[in-house]
Amino acid sequence: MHQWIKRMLSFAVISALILSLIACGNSGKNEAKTEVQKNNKEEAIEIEHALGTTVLDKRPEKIVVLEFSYTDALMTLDVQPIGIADDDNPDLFMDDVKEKLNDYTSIGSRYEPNIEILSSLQPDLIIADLNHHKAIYDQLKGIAPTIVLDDHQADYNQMLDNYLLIAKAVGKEAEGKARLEEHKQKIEEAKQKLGDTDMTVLPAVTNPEGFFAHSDHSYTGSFLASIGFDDPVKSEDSYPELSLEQLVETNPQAIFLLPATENTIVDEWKKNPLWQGIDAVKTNKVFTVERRDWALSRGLISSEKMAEDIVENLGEK
Amino acid sequence: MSRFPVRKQKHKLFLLLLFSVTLLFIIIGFLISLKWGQAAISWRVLFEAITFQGQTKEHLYIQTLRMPRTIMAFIIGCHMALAGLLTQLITRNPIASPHVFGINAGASLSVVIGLIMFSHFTLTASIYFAFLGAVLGAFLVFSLAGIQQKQPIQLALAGIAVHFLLSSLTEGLIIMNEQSTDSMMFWLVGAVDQASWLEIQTILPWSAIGVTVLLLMLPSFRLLLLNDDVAVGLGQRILFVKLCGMLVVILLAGSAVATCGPIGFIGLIVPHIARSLAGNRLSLLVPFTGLLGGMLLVYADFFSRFIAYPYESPVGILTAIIGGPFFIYLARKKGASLA
Repeated sequence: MHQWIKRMLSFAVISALILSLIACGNSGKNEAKTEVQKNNKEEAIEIEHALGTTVLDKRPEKIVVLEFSYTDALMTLDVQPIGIADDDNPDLFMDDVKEKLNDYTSIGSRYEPNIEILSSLQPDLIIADLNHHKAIYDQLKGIAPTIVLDDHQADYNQMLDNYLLIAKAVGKEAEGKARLEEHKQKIEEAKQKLGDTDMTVLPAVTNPEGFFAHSDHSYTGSFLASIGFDDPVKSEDSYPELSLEQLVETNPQAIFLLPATENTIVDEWKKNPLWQGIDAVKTNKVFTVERRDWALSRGLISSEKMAEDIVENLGEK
Repeated sequence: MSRFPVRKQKHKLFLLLLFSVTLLFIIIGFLISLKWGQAAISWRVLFEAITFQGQTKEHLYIQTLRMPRTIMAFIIGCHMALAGLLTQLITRNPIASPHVFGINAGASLSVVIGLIMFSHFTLTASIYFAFLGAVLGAFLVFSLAGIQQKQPIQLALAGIAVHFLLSSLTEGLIIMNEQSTDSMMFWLVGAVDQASWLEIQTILPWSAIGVTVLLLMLPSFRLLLLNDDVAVGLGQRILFVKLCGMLVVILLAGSAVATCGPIGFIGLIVPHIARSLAGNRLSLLVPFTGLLGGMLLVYADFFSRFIAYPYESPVGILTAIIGGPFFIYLARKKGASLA
């Protein structure tokens, strides 16, 4: 009898624990049907991508994307995706993208997209990421033609290449090229407004546990380099963690903080006299910008926003 | 409890030597930990910094970053090793440790829940959350296995099952909340690299309470070395003693996990090394285990700086590399006697 009670008790505790966790995990699904614009042109599109060549018989209409940057790309081409892996959090889109985005179905996490929802949408094109979705490529291929781009780890120039591939895949190659020219124009204009860019600028994501520099190999770091700045953290690793000691040694002349949470480790560091010794702090060049603009969206729209932020903070007044 | 009078003198000498060598290694560990980091620092500056003269950048590196970090490594190592020793005594199970017994996993889970639920999650709050989780983890294990010492196998199985259950829930939460818990993967292996004086101030009271209770209960804990029936026969309230022991484990392991994340294997391996060197007398074994644990983590933290130099790597990686094989060795060696 005693044994029985004990078993029931532990079973009850464990089930309650699991249930409560499931309950707090699943919220905020975007279950809305989407009108897709009909614009049929019967021509085959052949795309070479990271895991092979995919042939599309016609211009795809129902597109599912598994990375934020693909949504950014599609918005510039006036193409609405029907499904997005948005980590179940629409707030992660930058405002400019969200404005243009119609209703879509959330596919869940970018790391573990929900295959069932994905296949129920019956897409005719899936755009996936090499690092996150290599393992499920065969599965995705079984659902719809899939192109896989090396995107999550990509730097700025690689992103521009990926952008053209996406434009080609959705049958808007010419529009894509034109938009890219426009983008380069905008960046060039920003460069003009910046004037002298001979300084070290460090972008970094911060949270309560650490300070994660975006190195010269990262997307933001390579973007800064493309407009003339120098990312002081040189590393093969895109997001190395810096200690305060290493940050002081690196001594950037300007810092862009991309906080992931409200309170970050920088709040602690500010109390340390060493923080005051950093050039960027001495000259009041520590800026806080939106992480979703700088680190998550990673496309033309977000790069233009980054350029804007940089001009606003570092431009000649 | 028979002694060998002839060997007694020699044994005493050996213990004296053991403690002094350990202390020497601890001092060396502190020195190299303060001396080498990302920035180069001369011995002269090091001396000035330790004696709190000078306010240059280099002095501040040592005073505000490396010193608290090293002290924290020592404290956490002590906590983990003592918690491990106590769990091994309470359960009479040589492969017991807070890590394998759901306490670390429970504490981690509740701290991660706290981090996700509250945006202003302070360190003090996380310590209380960790205690709660540690209690939950331990409760789950003991409700599955019972607290009689006759079933070390059930306890080990229940412990491992609960550990994996809670860890998988933690990882599930992290995956579902990737955005707010970005670097929690880093935290999940445990690291002391961000330790500050403030964190030391927060954890020290718990160290003090834990160690005091431990020392006060030392005579009673001695009975844990005996058979339960014998202890009861001697008039000890064995359940009460075990509960006190669990409380100390939860205090030590919980506060360590809340401050630095679950640093694995220290609690498992250190008591074994300590016992093989210092023997079974608790009045020697307990302080030696604490010192050895602290020393090991100071060295582990020092070497972990060079894994991805000049960037930080969590010290938990290093303790896992050392501890994993040791665990297998123990399981194989003791497997026969357990079965």
